[in-house]
Amino acid sequence: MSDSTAISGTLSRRDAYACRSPSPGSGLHHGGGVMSAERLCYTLMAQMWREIEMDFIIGTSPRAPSILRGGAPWQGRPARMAESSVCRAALLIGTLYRRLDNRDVAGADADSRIFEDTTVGVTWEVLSEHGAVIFGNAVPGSVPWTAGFTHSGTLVVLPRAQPTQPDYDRARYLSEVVGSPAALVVPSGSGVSDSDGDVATLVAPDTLSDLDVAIESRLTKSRVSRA
Amino acid sequence: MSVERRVFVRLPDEMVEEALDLLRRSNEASARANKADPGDRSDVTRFERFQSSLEDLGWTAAGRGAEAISDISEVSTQERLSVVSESAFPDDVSSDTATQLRAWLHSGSLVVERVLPFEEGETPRPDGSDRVLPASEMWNDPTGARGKRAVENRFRQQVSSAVAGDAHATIRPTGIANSVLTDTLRQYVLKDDMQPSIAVPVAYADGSVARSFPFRCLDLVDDATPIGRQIKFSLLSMRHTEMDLDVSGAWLRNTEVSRQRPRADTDELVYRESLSQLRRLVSLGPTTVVMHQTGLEPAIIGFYRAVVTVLQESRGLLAVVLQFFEAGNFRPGPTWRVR
Repeated sequence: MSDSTAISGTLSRRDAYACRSPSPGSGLHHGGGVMSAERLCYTLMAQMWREIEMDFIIGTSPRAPSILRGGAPWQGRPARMAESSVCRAALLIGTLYRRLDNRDVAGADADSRIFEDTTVGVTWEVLSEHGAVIFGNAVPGSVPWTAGFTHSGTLVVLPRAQPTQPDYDRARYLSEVVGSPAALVVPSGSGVSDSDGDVATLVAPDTLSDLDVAIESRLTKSRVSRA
Repeated sequence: MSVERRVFVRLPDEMVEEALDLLRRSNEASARANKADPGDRSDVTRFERFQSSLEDLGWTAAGRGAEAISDISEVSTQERLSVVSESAFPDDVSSDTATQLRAWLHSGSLVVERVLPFEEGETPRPDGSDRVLPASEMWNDPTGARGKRAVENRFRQQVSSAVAGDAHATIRPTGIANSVLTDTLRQYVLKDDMQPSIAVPVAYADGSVARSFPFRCLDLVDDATPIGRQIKFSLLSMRHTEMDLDVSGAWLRNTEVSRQRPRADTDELVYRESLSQLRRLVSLGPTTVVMHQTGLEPAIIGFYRAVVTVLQESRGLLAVVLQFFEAGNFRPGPTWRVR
């Protein structure tokens, strides 16, 4: 039995799959030398890496193909260390994004509580050459995970598992260029909590150990689930 | 895109003792990981934790003003630790950096490498296009078969093409029925006097690639007469417990085989285990293994690869007689035994 509306031919199926898959921000390319479009879309659909995390990895690191395939062999520690640094930053930025994008409706004054749409609609743009992200359309107010810092809806963030002074200097530079407050997001227990002048330090709830466990889980899924 | 900068930090004396302890633990975990079963990453996790702690020491030392040298060359895939040593000296640093590192090492210092992944700069966008597999061409069964039958016919064609010498052919056993898999392997394992033996790559649906399977290498005979002592096994424990009434034991433990890992790792685990067990059996004299077989493709491929190896090594000492367990019943299968 033939189906006149069926997609015939392998190429058109790939295109249809790519069109229907969620397309995150600026960094995702369909294949384009990173990996096949199917593999990228599958990674997103299975949430092995979330959209902003994948966007950040692809946008800031030449190790994206290796990371998305499951990581470098563990015996090569320098390569593994480099990938780990990128993955840690990606997870930090992903956690912050979910924090910014979540609209907390508990205690709302309305008679009925709406559970369906609790997202703010925060946007992001990866600054590839700086390893940073600009968040936009956030709810103005206090910057999360810090005290005394506020933003008006736009925030420049540098995710760093082990921040250095040059990172704070770069954040300050980006703040001037973008015209928005800047911050570093670091893991809990990193030994860094003090903000540097007008650059906030956001201490995420996850420790470095938590991040590494989560990274290993995702890399394992990427290795085991390849198809 | 940003560039990576690597920083080599010379640890101060007060940190050396702690660093040496972490290094010792790293080496111990690494040694255990190299001996672990395929897919077992528990010691890998330990190794990486100790290495991270070492790198943190380097980080702390750098923050306190320890001597350091940075390098912006691309990290190679060299197998080495994050502690620099003469025996695993970095092959991916500039000559100036190498000279300084050697000077520190010769003075007896401990040097730790760190990576800063987001330094500003231009980095070539990775061009992995040569590694991106194109979509497969659609395959139509020439006999017009559909569904499961077509899948099995495609597998036979894959094996046939691979054995015929198609350089790009691999065999992909995922989703193939237990009996079809075994019968097809046996058909092509038969020696051909006109053509040499050939080893064909095995790839699973998850993308993992296993050890090659040898074909055209055995003079198999259809003789189910037992040789020596006869021992009945089920291939995997706890799969079909109704077989337990008929067998003396399970060849493999389900809890070890059925773990989340790349399929090729499971194949390798089964191959090594089966090779060891078969060799032990034939060392005690001629043996007939009656295998009550169920379907787990990596286990079947791994097991029969081991059978082929032992039949080549120990002619006349081993016979494997099959009983396929399908739909609740046993059906006899072919014998793997050499002339």
